[in-house]
Amino acid sequence: MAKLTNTAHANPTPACERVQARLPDLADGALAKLDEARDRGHLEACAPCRDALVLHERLLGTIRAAASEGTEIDAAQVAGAVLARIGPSPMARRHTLALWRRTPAMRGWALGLAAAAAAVLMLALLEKRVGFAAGFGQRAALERVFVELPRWSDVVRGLGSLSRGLS
Amino acid sequence: MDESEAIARVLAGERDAFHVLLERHSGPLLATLRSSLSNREDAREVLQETWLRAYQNLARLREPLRLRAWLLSIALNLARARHRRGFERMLEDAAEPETDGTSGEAELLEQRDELARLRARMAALPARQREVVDLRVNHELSHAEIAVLLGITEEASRANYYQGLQRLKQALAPTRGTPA
Repeated sequence: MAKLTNTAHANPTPACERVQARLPDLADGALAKLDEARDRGHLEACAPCRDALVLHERLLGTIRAAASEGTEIDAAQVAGAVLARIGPSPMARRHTLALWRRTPAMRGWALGLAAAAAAVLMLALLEKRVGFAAGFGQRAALERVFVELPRWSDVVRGLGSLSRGLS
Repeated sequence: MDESEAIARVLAGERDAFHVLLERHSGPLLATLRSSLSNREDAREVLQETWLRAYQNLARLREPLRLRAWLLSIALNLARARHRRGFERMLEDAAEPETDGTSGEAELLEQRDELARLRARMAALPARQREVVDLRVNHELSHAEIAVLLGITEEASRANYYQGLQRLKQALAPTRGTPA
């Protein structure tokens, strides 16, 4: 390979000036086919312009080498530092709410469970009040109602279905 | 995991997906920051700040395919702000070359000198030229993409690129040996 210089072309012709002005595009493959063919033809015949192209490509290589040197990074360490500064994920909270809003099944189950819990609480309170205040006969009647109730899991499932149907 | 999926997972609160994005983009971002800030510690601090901003604003990213350009715009804005505040420490902390006296030592030193000269030239470029050269060469963005990212015209991007390269060429050794 010929010795490279970055000195100016000694006796540039208009073709040399055109080619050298377009070297970045030529090296990038960004020229139109006709222009590229014309410039490549000139480069075959013109050693200083060939040197200029080689110099340009060497420059790009050096820029890339300079940029990549010392950029090795421990991504886990950076992520840890960033996440530590953020604290508990606000995105997770937002996502939970979004999931609640978007998912009818989840909303249905949650409403069903809430309704079941309210029902249990109400019955417990009622039973307690009746137990103290009512006579024996009324209390026995209430206990029969409890015995006839379906199992709680069925109640929850039923309320969930009902809620899904409403949503 | 592709980029869009990783972004969706981060938005869903999966922190592991954030590591995926970080591993993919930290190297190129740090390269850009290093060419803007020259001091390694400054560059690493700004990189961390870039990811923090990105995490906090990820929901605003409309097009996941533009993640890289979006991250670069955050990083460049932060780097410019740091320049303005005059925080840059000009101490160049590049490691000294380890030489062992072997036959490759001279060549290694020559290469490192060339890299050091180029970095110095790069740091001395006007900010716009430096950014365009970095985005074009290191990130392989088109002039159209650079124009959008920096808020300039395509022609201005092209002109800054040519002018920047002309100045950087002077960092290369005037002559090089004649390889076989």
